[in-house]
Amino acid sequence: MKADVSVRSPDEIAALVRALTDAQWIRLRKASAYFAWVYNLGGDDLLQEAFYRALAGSRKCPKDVDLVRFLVEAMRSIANGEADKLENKVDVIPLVQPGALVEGAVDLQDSRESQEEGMMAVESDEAIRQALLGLFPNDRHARDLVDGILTGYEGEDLRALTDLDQKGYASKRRFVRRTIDKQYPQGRKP
Amino acid sequence: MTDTDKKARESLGGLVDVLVEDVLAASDEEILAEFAEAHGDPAKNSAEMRALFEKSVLKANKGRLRVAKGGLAASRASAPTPKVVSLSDVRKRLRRVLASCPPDVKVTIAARNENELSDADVLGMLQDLKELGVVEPDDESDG
Repeated sequence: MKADVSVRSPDEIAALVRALTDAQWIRLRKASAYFAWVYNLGGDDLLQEAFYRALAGSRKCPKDVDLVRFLVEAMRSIANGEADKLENKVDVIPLVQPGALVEGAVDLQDSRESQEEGMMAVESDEAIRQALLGLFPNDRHARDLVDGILTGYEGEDLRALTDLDQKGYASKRRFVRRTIDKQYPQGRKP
Repeated sequence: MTDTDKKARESLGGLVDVLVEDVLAASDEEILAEFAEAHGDPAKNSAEMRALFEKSVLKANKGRLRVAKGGLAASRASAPTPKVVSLSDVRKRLRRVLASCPPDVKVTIAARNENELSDADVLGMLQDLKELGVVEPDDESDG
């Protein structure tokens, strides 16, 4: 089979990874910790899996894509995949007791959340939101930014929500990240 | 996972996207200074991460070796088993074929005595006759 010249070979990937700078390694470690934070996974495991898929060729690395960006996107995809697996998991419980009439061997457990479970999850979601907003008690812009992100605002809409100019917005984003990093090091959840 | 878990994951996912983009956009100086302040020596971190990477290399190499072994085993299993033949039977067969050959073919090869041919020549000649259509390829009987 003819090799695809538009993607990096495992040897090329290995050579590039071994040549990563300290700053690039930090970016990868931070990104893995953020994904691990949301998806309840191990940050190092996630990064290792991204390396493995790149080297094994199950995830192709285009030559024109920055390697760190590629590995970050690989981690995002793996984490999403793991979450989807959990989401689509169907719990199977045996219905038939020994000696009972066999009418159906298994039944699909109702995976819809009970009212009680739903309320607990809402409380947990709200607790996370409050914990994050609580990091910025006297900073309206930072609170608006975090609240907007958690509500689903993106890009220009998000910036407009904070009422900051481009420079101020970029600076606020950095401040928010640093504050979260300090409060929740290594991806510890609120 | 419940619907509410999914919603929480999506909203936190949006936050993570912003955090990741910010880390990627920050300058090397900022990243290094932040890390040094919070965690210590960046070079130590790099060494740990490289060790993690080498584990992945090992795992990927083992995976490739497994695939290669699997491919080799499969090709061995599907390779045809060479047929063992008796050379005296082959010589007998050649004599029989020569005796019943059309005249023009017989003239060409009759100049050589079968007894003087090497084993390789005998096998080669039978092969040639098969290719000429003088001997049926499926005519493997020597009796």
